[in-house]
Amino acid sequence: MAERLLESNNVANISSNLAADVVAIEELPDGRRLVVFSDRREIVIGVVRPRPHPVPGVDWLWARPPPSPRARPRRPPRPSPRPDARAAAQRAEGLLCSLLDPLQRADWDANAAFWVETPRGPVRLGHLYSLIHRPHDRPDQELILCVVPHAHRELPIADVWSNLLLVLAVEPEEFFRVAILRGSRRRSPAARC
Amino acid sequence: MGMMRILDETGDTTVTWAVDDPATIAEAEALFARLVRERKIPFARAAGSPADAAEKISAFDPNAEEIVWVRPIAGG
Repeated sequence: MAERLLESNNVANISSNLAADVVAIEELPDGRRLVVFSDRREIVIGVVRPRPHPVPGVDWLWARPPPSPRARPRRPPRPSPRPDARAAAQRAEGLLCSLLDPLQRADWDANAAFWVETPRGPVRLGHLYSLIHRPHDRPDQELILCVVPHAHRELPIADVWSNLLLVLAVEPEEFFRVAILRGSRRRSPAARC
Repeated sequence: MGMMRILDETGDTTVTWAVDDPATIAEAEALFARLVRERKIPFARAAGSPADAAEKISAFDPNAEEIVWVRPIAGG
């Protein structure tokens, strides 16, 4: 039975430690040597010689040392909102809350969304690009609309809702004039009111 | 004291004027004109009143308590 002695390549030392004589030494393709003794025991000695992968630019999987936790490339830290961004968000939230009536405020606090009544039917603000509209003249349907303020990505999200809320509450026809219909779906029976 | 709140990346920028201070009124009026040229939309309201009590205005009113400037909207 072969034994692996990876740390030693010295046949004489090994032989001297064994009672049997070495009868054969065979070079193995990976750089180690197979030593056969007179009592039919076999051992493999030496260290595997690294050989290049036949495909240029590719390395053997086992040839790459596993990355240590320190050496592992660090994922760039997730950008936490900068203090000024947090302040902007808080400020925008304050303005939005001041524009909501008590029912809308409770809905906003619970669901981060709220309904705005319009002559055409209520519109729910809270999901950017997917504003739900329940038209009065289609009681079994709800429409998915998309309306955004100009350069809305510059604004804290609460400002986007303040912007849309004011237009919807004061000039609803302007809102519906520019709205893009993204889809429609059947209203659940509970929502048909 | 009146206040304009202009929605922007900081949340909003405020500009105030005093009804008994013509200089501040003139500054606010000039700003009002500039924002109209930028196609921003002014809504006046009593401070703290909900959106459905706001009113779209077309000229600067020094007696307005608060004017909230929003951006024009478009289908996304």
